[in-house]
Amino acid sequence: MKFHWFHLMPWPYLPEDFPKRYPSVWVDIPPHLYDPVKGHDVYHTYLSQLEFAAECGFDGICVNEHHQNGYGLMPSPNLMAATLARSTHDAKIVVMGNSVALYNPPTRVAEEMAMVDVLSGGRLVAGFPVGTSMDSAFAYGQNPATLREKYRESVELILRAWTAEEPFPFNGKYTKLRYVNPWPRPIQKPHPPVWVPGGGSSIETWEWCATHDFMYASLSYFGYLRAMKSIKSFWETIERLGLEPNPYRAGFLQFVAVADDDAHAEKLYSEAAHYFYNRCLHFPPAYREAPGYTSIASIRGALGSSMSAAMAAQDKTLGWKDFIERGYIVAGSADTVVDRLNHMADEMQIGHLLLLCHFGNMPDETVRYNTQRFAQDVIPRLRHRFDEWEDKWWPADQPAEILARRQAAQAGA
Amino acid sequence: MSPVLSERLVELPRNPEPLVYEGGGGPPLVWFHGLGGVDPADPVLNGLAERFAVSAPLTPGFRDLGELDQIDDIHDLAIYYDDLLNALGVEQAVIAGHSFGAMVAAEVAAHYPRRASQVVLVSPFGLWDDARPVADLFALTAGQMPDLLYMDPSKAPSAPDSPNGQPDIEALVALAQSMTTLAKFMWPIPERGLARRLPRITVPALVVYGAQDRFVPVSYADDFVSALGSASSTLVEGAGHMVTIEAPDQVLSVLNEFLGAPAAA
Repeated sequence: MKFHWFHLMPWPYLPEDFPKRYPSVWVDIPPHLYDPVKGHDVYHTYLSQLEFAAECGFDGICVNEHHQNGYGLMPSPNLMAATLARSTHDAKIVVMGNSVALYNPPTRVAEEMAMVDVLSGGRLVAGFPVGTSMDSAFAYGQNPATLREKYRESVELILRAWTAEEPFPFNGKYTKLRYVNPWPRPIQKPHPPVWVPGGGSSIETWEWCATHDFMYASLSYFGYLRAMKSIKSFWETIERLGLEPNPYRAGFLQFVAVADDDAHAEKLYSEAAHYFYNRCLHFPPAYREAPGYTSIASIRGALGSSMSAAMAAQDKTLGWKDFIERGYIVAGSADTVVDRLNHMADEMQIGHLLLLCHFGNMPDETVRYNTQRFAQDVIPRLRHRFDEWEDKWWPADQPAEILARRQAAQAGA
Repeated sequence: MSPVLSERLVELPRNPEPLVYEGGGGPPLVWFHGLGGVDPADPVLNGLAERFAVSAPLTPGFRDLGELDQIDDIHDLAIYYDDLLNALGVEQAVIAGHSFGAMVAAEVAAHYPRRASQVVLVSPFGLWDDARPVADLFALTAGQMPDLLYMDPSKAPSAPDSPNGQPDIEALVALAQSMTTLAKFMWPIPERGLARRLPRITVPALVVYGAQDRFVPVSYADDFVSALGSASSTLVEGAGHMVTIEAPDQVLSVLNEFLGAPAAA
């Protein structure tokens, strides 16, 4: 099993009465709530936390892309990945990812991700999300009726750009280029591993990932208990397509909170959880489902987006007890956390676990405590799960020449 | 008794068979429907069918999103309707529509001016001024839309009952198909360059708004009138964007006056 430390980079200064006073945390969040001087410290604190997670031994450190969003301050995850590529050495840089339909032309993504792969010495995991309805349709104005088609065309273009031996013309429906020839080119051959983050519910996305051999990562804020049904449908799709049920084909995002015991966890993490679930997820329901964003097949499958389903069920202001009982947050002593994650692994067969050790407005020292305890007390007890499977969706060893350069630099230091 | 429109599938080269609602007799009138599709019992359509041979095509995509595979933009849609008029044997007609359909009617008449004998645009959008934004229909749930679209939201057709508290999947699919189709031509701003093309329409045109339209500011009536060659506008009091549902008799009366004296009963 592999463990990845995921940062959403939320703005930590939303007022307590935010949901009452303002219409939305996303798309049309009031501009004046952002303070760029405080933002300077927020960015540096968050980047240091990602570096700390790498030092603690997490396999990957993850950044992602959101737009006009008070809980996701990374419109460009590649900028963050670039700085992490210089400040870390072993952890893989999981860019989760670039919403490829938003880039014109999408070869911009092929270029920037190649830059990060080269800078990091071949440590990039390339995530290609469709982007949420809020990000892609409302903030970036993409037509939801054609978004998925454009997204898939963009992914095909990027992969061809990375692997082609010669410049080539690309006459797509959404992108027309006479000369596709990105420089630089990625270290990893044929290309960095591709992960596709999703809302955990699109049958077409599962089939598309399976047939393209992409890793599928279900990114839900609502925990493993709620996701079990859709992850089981994912594995049924894999089986139906005659593919091996390799756990590393799938990833899942989970909030975790490690402490001495349940009461200690509540004391440490309750406020941050409230902040995330009751302030950061405040936005109008129509934003979640731009028309066409959810396919007809998914509507017929009664799957909808996991976010919509969960938020429709969110009929009241939730409390710590709800977060725990519903499995939104796996919290408690290391034993409790290990037990619950084992339960998750048994039921869901997830090889790649993406962890939110930071959420909401959690103080820096609490983030580091949570991160360190998870690395020391939880990871070693789950590490060997799924050892019988080969992880084909992970960067290969870095080139010897690059490792030798680093060793020489360290010896000189 | 009003004639009732009947459904017909029309053969069309290169495209899935369009569904067209037809009825009445007289000179041809093509009606492009609004946000919700064609209601065969629509009193305005049935009133018009007393004097006109009414053809009301269902927008491709409403029945099956696959119908949009060959239609990338508003120009493709105009060409599609040109083909459909050929298939219907209609050389020239009154080109009319409501709401989204009024934008389509304006686009069809602007792309093919010789097709139109007269043009009727009821609650049209398709023009844009930053100072007077058309409201964002897509930022609303279906349940919130009546407040935007009706002066009196209680006049909105009620949502179908969901049996046993389960969501009605077919109703959700139908809604998703129609809204996705609308988004294809309206997202994120319902303006595709119509202002440049409207002056191509020189035949008499009528612009009608419900005076209490909260979706499209009624001041756009002036923009349509000044861009069209020979147009006038009328506001119908006591109705919002869905003026054909909220005030069908007034709409019919305004349309009949513009279109000429009614045929003898």
